[in-house]
Amino acid sequence: MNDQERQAVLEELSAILGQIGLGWVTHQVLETIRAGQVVEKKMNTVAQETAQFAFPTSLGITSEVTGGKKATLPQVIDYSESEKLRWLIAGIEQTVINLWEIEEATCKIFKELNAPVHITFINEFAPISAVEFDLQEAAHQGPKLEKLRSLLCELREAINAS
Amino acid sequence: MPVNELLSDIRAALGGAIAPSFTTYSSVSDIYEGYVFALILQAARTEGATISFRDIFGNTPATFVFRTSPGHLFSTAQPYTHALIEFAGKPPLEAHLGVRVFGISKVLHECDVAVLTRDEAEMCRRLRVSPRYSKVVIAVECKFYASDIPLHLARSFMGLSRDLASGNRYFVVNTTSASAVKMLGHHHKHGWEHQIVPSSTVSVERLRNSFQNSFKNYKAT
Repeated sequence: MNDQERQAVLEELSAILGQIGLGWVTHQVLETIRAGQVVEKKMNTVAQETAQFAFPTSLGITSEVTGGKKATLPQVIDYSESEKLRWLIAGIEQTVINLWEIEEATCKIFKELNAPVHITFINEFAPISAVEFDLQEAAHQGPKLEKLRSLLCELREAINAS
Repeated sequence: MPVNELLSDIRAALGGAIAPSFTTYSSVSDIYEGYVFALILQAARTEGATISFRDIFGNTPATFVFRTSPGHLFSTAQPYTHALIEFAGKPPLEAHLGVRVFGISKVLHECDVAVLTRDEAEMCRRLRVSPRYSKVVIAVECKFYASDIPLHLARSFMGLSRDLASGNRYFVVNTTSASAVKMLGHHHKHGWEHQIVPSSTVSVERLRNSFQNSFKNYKAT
């Protein structure tokens, strides 16, 4: 897969997420991608910078810079196309797979505590938008999640294939 | 498998695995708060507490009713549920989801999960006021994210934590972020955990132990 194809897959996957109501996942992943990654690089520092007003330069400012000692400085760089795609795949795993696991774990704890396993979340100012969770549903998601997990794994391998 | 086929299979698999509640970010955050609430109760029980559940009217609920956005502990708009945590010989505690708490600055802050003394909670219900930070034994800020946690969330937790006074204030997230972890590790040595999802057993255990430690200290006072 080349970078152009990776970009196309990223767009296609984002479109799929948007169509099934997971546009917020893409949005959050893009936030991370846009922020870039911080790497530490050894660079020559600037030892001395003398700014003086002089003309006729376009900015009206000239400066003299001399090289200083080498130092390790943080620098923000862009993610590669394959890294971007990996972020989106991780985002899908974080939400779909982990959320079911979270529901399942919560259900298990509540059962141990003899607590209800049905939850209604209600906004006191907008009760009509109540959201209901039956935590026991998570227990039946296993095979579906395994299938999804293996497909995402296959996609990850395809990204690396040349 | 060709990539086009793979994407088509992923589309089908996703469609079958998505609960309607996953399609709004607020619902997803709600269920995550419910998970952290459960971890706190599990820690309390391990530490020897008896756990029971009540709604705002004092009844035992058949269904949990939680706030989806922060509200007042004294609200009677819905039969909101809380957990009652009782340690022998100690004043009982209550665990709530999404309640507002007064900070040092007298500003109301949202606590995703708050454990406070029952005396304070009863006073709040009677007088229709919000709890004071000094009566909050554990306060947790929960964040569920599909990707790295943005730095500003960690920054705002540090401010919140200061206004709710130090000790037993936790920032719990499902993912991680190199920058947020660096900052929290540097300025806020305790009370944060990242990668809190069931499959990260070590992180979850460490968080549960921290909650347990908070209850141990409460019992000792």
